[in-house]
Amino acid sequence: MIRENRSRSRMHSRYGSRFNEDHSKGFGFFFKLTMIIMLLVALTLGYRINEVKQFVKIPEAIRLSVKNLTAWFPFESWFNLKDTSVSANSYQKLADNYYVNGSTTCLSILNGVVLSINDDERNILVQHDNGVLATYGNLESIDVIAGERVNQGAALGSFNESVKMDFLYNGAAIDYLQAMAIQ
Amino acid sequence: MSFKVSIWWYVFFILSMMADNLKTWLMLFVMLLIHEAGHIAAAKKLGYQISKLTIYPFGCGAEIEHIDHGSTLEEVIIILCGIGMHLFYPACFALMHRVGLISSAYQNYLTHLNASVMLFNLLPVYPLDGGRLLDCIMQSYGSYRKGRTMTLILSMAVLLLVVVEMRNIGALMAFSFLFVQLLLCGLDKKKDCHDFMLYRYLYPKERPIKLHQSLELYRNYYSVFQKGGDLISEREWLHQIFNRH
Repeated sequence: MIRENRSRSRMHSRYGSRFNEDHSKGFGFFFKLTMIIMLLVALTLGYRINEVKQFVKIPEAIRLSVKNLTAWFPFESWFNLKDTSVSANSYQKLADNYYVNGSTTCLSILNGVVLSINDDERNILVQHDNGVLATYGNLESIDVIAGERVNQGAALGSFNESVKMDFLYNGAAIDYLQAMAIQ
Repeated sequence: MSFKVSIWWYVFFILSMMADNLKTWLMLFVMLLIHEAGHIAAAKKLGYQISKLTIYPFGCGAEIEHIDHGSTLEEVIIILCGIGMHLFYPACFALMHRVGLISSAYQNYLTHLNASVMLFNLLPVYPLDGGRLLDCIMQSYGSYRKGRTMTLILSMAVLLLVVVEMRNIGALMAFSFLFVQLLLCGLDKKKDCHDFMLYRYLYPKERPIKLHQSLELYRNYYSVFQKGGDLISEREWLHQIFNRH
């Protein structure tokens, strides 16, 4: 027993000062930073995997109300720096889902986030702030990148004769005027 | 320097991740970090110590020790070094667009966001950069205590005006947070004045002399008080206060 105690005290005298408060100050910062970054990466990956695999099913109502939170993004609409009277959303219906707007530039009907881009079928999936999921198809070129935030009237791409737009709200297909009317 | 992330930052991170808005969120976060790095670099260069860096969802807060005790010119330099960072961002976004990292629409959006952040920081509300600039102007003309009082009153007036105009819920949350901060500054005013007097007693420095009658200290001047027929220097007065016991 005595020997053990003695050796421990000897060890303490040798190594004890290594992890005392003064020495671990800088270490603590990098430890915390690493932990925070790992936690955030794990959360992001977990959420992304869950979206595909559906381990935990998040109800559609909650998902939609969270999607609407993008309208709360700080600084974005705190100051009215842009002229909001631009009539960017004046699409006219040609046929079923085909619209024209007097030019060959496809403009975003509302504020939103570009969810994904399909290069083969030449369409863009945009989640708008009022909960409407819009697909802009039949495009000639695509000018945006997935994950980007777009304002109302932002140029998403260009089309030849008409743009094919599909709108989904709460899983039901709606038309352009209904999508614009939802607050 | 201690480093602290506000709990609301994590909440906003998770919400923006679920809302697929993570890219913009991280861009904003990097913009705010570089803004704060500008302040910190200028403060270090001028010989100030940084005690704490806190990250809020709509900005960072670096606690620079004695920033409002030194000369007003130094404080203005530190503040402008932070705000000046926003002038470089549009060029950065243009470069990123040219390289192909971001699209043209997103470049416009980010430039607009950057202007908003800069305008928010320039609002004359005290704990913000614009409020600190106002404080510097007030304290370079008036005494420390009177200048601070004027700043707090003006800040409160501006804050109430802005809140009345705002319709955005996120902005209202941020401004209610600012309102609490402003009230805390008002409550701490007496302690701030005491700290300022102690700072002047402990770190005397050569300054132009100002002769006046009220027992007040000026940030840019060395006070000499005229009391009856006598002249009392700032140092003697502070010595009487802090060496009583």
